[in-house]
Amino acid sequence: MTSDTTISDTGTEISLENVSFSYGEKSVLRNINLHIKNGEFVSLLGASGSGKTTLLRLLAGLEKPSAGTITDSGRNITAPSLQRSFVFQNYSLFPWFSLRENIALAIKKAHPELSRARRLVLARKHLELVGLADAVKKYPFELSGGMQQRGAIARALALGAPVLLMDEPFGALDPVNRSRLQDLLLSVWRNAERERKTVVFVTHDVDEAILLSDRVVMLGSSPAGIIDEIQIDLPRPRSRRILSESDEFRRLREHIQNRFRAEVSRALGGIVTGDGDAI
Amino acid sequence: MNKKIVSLFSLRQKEGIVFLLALLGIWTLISTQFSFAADYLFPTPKAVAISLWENFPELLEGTLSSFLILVPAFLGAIFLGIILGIVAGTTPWVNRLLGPFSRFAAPIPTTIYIPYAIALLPGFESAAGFVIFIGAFWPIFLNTTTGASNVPAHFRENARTLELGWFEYRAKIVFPSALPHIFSGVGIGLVFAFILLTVAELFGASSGLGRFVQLSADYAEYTRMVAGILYVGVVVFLCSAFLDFLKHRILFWKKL
Repeated sequence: MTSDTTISDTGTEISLENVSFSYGEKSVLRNINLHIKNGEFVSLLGASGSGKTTLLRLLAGLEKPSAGTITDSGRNITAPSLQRSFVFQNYSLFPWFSLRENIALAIKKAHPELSRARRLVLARKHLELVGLADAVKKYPFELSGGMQQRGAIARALALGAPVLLMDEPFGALDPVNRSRLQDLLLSVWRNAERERKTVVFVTHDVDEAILLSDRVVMLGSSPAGIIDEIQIDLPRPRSRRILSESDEFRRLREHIQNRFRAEVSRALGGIVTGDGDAI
Repeated sequence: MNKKIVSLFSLRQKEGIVFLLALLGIWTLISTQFSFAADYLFPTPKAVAISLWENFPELLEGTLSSFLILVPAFLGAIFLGIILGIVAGTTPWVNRLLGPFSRFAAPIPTTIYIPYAIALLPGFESAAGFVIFIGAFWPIFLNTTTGASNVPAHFRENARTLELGWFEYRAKIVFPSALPHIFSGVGIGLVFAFILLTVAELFGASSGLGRFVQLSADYAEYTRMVAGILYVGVVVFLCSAFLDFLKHRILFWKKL
């Protein structure tokens, strides 16, 4: 299970080749080609219904593609794996376990050789890392949404997977908590002791995508697919305040927004002409 | 756990207490003011209370002897009902295997087995225990199956990303997730268990709560009989309240 963890330092970690996915008749994703490098932070940006979450679920192995191949370090992704931690928008923590037990369960999977006592110590360390030192024995229902997502990040890190898949993890948070958690994510990602993790981050927030990513992958909805990829070369460490004064940031934001606007009017136009061409 | 203490007696609502007192008043009124053909059939609350007091040692003894049958049978039903329910609810072929049988067998009124069980099994205790087990098993098993087959998708997927093993998934995810259903099954099973226990004791017990009531009827001691009925009511009420208390303790993470 964990024996094949050797990851090459260079080259592509995750590859999607001509991937399509449909629910019955409905085509959700069509002909996706995407290559994600080791240690890269990639955002999947799109409106609801653009299939960005489906794409992430395909990467996780929670769904199987209707066509095409998806590989992680050269191996086909066919099922969820401890090699790829998933952070859900909600419910990453099991409500019947305390924070510490939740993290300890992840550690147990990642390091089955550790004793229970050792796992609990490690769990506490991971919780301290995300600022939850005082809440180790608390249950999810006793925590705010922001604290729960901190716990979710701690759990993902505790799993020690080289790939982090995050499905709108801050989507349900208020702006203050949201920007705090973004900073936290960036700092744990940058300070990763060993290998920097590969992150695929789903969001519909343009600013969030630019702030966090090395690359933003834009998804459109009709037909579903990648409409643009934007390299973000803004210097790191980044912060909201510095970026808001940066011309490059504004240029990128405008570019992405224009791209989406064009996509929406194209999609609407498509519907109009589509009516005309009806068989 | 900074949970509010759940009262063992959910009798705190004023309306409920007023209603109980009103019933007691009506009972007193009827039994003292009106003259019936057979007064002894309708004893006064006072007479019943005195009888309850006098027969208390015997009732306690009866409770003990009843519980010696009920508790093992009920615990066995809980144990097997939960385990089989979780297996059936998470394994489609087991569910298909057991489905037709349980749809046929579960609705059979368990009281109908009592004479056969008494004839078939050695001794009254084993017969009563068997019938209680069957009666309590079905609601627990069926509710657990429902709970186990309806684990929310986000928990299932979360567990899949953790690569939990067969047993670990069922013990750590399915079981807690199904607990609300399991508790409703156990609650129904508890009531069934008492019904079956007392009915079985009417048939052939030498002691026990049902036997106490039956014996009073045999000697036409209706005051003693009403006392016995009230006593059984209180015992069942206390058991249900205890179960409710356990439920709130164990499902603390669920907003009940």
